[in-house]
Amino acid sequence: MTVRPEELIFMMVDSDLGAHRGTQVQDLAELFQKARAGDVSAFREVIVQHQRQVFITALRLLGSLDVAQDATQEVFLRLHKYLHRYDSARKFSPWLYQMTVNVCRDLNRRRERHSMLSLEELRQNGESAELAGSVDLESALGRAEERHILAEALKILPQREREALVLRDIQGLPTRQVAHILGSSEATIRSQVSSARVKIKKFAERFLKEKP
Amino acid sequence: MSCENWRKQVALFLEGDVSGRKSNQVEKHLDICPACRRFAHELSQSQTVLKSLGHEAIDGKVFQAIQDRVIGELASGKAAASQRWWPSIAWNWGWTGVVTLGLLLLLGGLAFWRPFRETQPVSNNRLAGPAALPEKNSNGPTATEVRNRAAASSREFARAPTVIEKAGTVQKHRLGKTLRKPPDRSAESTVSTAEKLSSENGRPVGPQPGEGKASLEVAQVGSQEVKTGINPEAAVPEPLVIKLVTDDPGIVIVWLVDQNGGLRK
Repeated sequence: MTVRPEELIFMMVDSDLGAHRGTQVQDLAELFQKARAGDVSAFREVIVQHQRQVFITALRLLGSLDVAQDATQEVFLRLHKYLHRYDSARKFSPWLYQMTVNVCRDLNRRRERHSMLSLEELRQNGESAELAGSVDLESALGRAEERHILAEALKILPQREREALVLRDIQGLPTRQVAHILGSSEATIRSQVSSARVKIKKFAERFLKEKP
Repeated sequence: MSCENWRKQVALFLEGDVSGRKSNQVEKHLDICPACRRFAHELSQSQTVLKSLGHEAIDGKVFQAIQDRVIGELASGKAAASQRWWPSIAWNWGWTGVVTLGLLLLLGGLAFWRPFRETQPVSNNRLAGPAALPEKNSNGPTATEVRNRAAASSREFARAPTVIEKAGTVQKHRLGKTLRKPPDRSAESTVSTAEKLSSENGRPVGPQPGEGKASLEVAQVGSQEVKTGINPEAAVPEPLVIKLVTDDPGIVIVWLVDQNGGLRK
């Protein structure tokens, strides 16, 4: 069983909204207007509101925390550059997903495979101790292991299937919206998603059977 | 339908991705097929874990770092530089391929277009020779350019060990038809131009020391009968110069033939 240290971050206490959690969600159009006028704090607020959506999508598409961080940064820089192109009559979220998928495709071509670290090594080197906190170590590792297997399974999928599955099942978007974001037909998306779900299940099954 | 095919439908059915009629069919199959029922159960479990990947807790430091980096880039003004369109295109193989294809098409088009341009005026002036070409021609090379090429051809010919005493009558063979061009004075002007151009290049036209005894002058290329006066001791009878004009004005095939029909050496 292998797991990368970055996977362990997700077992920590949820504090992803950080200091901005209490910030009142402002109207997006107003934020865009201010950001276009050069208001950096307004654009920071845009980032805060959408960073999770972008980061999780990028992480599942790219499979690496570092590259996902780079991708998220790139998405927001690109967003800042093309703010003037945003049509307020349309929903912002699909446009941002589209941008995220495009950035991930670009990065996916360049990045190298990251080395894996076995879970056994993590157990031995004590890194897991700091994760445990007040939760039971074994159950935490069990859940992390399940998630890790599925996260690894995502990597074996062809890019198009992975994109469809991440947007449909992990981000929970309707098939029609996924088709729009990926520029495919709904029938194609359904076919890709169906195939990806079966492959993921088979991968997890095989992995668990091989486990001592 | 085999169970393998049913399972693709089951994978959609579990998440509500199939229509009502199809959904009923899947349900009926699951009722009668225990293997597919087990498959559906296991798949729903993996789907539960898969969906949980979207709800994982993420350390706030990760997001804080992203915000700081983005805002830092924007504040330092590097964003504009890093977002130029060309770096991403440079890494994009698709765009690289498109650009390469475009360049190849452009070069190919130019390669075909140039001979076409050169062919048009030459075909109109084929019998008149380069001396008759206008100095300014918007559709092809100028007369000066043609003369330059002729001068270069004559120099090449001068290096050959061919001995020519006197240029004969020039004939043109095209599509099996022999045309005879009456001599005129324009050839002499062409010769003088060629000589001038060659002299300017540091190499006079005509026999050079240590080279062949004679050379074919531009006047011959210009399809004219000209007495060059080169090598007066050379052979008799007078040779015939036969010039084959191709569609490419840069390619002119010239035969020197004795009047009895044999090729001169």
